[in-house]
Amino acid sequence: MNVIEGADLRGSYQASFDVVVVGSGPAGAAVALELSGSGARVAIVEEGPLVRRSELPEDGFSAMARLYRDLGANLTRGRAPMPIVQGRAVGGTSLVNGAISWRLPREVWDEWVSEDPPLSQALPWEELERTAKTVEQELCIGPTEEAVAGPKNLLLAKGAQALGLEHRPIRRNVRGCRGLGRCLQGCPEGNKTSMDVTYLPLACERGARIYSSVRVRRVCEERGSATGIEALSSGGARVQLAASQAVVLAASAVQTPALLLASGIRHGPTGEGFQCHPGVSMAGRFPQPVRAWEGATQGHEVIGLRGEGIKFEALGYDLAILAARLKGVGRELSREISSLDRWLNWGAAIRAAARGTVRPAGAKASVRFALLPEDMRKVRRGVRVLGEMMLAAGAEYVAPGVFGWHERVADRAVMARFEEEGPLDPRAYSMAVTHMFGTCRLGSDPNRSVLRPDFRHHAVDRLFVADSSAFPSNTGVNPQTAIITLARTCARRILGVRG
Amino acid sequence: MSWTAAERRWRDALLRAVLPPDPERHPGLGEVDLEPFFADFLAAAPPLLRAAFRATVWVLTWLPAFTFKRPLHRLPEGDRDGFLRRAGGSRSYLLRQMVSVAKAVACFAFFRQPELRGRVARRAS
Repeated sequence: MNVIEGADLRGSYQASFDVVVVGSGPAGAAVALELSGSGARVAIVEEGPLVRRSELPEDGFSAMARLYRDLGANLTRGRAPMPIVQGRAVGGTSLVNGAISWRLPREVWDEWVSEDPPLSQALPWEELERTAKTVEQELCIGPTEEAVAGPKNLLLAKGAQALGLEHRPIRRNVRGCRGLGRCLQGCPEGNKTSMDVTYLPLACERGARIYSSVRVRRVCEERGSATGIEALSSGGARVQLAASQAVVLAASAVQTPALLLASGIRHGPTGEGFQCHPGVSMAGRFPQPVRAWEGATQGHEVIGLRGEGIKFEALGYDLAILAARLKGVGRELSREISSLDRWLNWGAAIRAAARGTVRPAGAKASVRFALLPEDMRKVRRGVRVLGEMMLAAGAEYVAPGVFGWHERVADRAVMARFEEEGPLDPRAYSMAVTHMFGTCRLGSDPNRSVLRPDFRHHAVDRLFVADSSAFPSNTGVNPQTAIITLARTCARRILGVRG
Repeated sequence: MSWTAAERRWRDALLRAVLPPDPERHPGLGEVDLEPFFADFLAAAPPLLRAAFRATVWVLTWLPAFTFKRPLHRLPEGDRDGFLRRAGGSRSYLLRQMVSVAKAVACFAFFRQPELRGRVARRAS
């Protein structure tokens, strides 16, 4: 790949391109691929480092220190702070996610166009579907094979089946996966088709250049037009990249609005409307070894309650994170670690209705977000179903990890009562935030949206946003494929071509 | 701001109390040199986490002085364990979160050791 490492840059560095893309995750890589294919001279600026396959760490701490933003410990502000989990490396979050691939659900698109009808013309469903199909072919997206699923995924299928809930092997972007269970630390064999091994090398073959370890501090604007970016390299160089045709922001629904606001581009509801999928997990102890760290990291999902905004997934954490989620502390924790091979974690992702805000905070971004009572009822239902599925799959007992409720539950009837008895206070739960949306939303009304339906900024010419900031709402499913699909669509709008 | 020698002792004692040996199974954090881990931890952690972890060390070290008249690192093992268990189930959200932070850091430090990773991952209980 054509990569300039920020650590090697000193003093002042300037260069000119047709298009500057901020962010090298799924959105940035997809835009860069599409635009470089049209002959445009493209620069991709990534805050995180380029980490080669041979350098990918195995243990959870080293992976999070090297590949995740703020060690995965940037917290939302509010009554019950939650960690925001994002990748920060060349390839963005695609390097460290579970490779779960969903198209944009039709009912979500229906919601968007029912609220803002001009979106149906700007984002025709047929075009999105056509693009998604192409993406699925390019990234080898297909269902997880049973041979690599491992016990955690097969037991989730068994538990869901016992409860009569619809479930299926997860469709993932992998090729030749051997079920190493290391998706969240970056696949050491390159079998996950993350952006660093797919779109970015291809974009570079077409002439794109990646600047890694370079943090964009400001989008430059002159007379109402975006003209480039100013950045700081990890080596201390002041980097200025000029863009003659477009600046495309693809830095995530947290970093993109923070960058706009820090640049003084404050049009409309920039940074408002933050949405996400808070996740809650359940630990269960099985009588037989289940070795949660083996098999496909996330290979099975339960979709029977998706209509209610709850989706369940098997979780394949590193040993350290699996252990930290065990109950107890001191000698009890040590005993449980001795039988770590008997413990599994499954999670529920919630399509939360709550909306928050993103603001710049020095060189970082601050997210204020608080779950609504209706969201907490979904969390409570999710915990109940997780526990029931685990017990139905053969767990000796489950450890809900909810303050003020039973520490251990071995009886499905007791677990079923959680939906009535469980607390609605978010501080009683341990949750994390993934999948963020909506902070620079698309729309036809410039007072209620930041971007025009064709992804152009309402107020600044030649400025585009291609990441999930642009989504009018959360989607209730893992968004990577939808992000790539919309980013490719954004790139075509930049080129002025309808796909 | 760098940690004082006393803070480093309290920190190590706290984490070793959070993850002590399980006889004949694993040695806990007792045999692990924690300095290299903490150099990397402090370099990678955001300011809020660094501050929260330091506050955690102070609070969980000195809170036992109110009930046991001694700080955590001077308590016998049974009392240390009992204090941490009660703190982990406290009505105080902040105190529960501090125990969670200490657990997470202890587990990160433990499973960063290849030998310990191998021992736990290979073992069939």
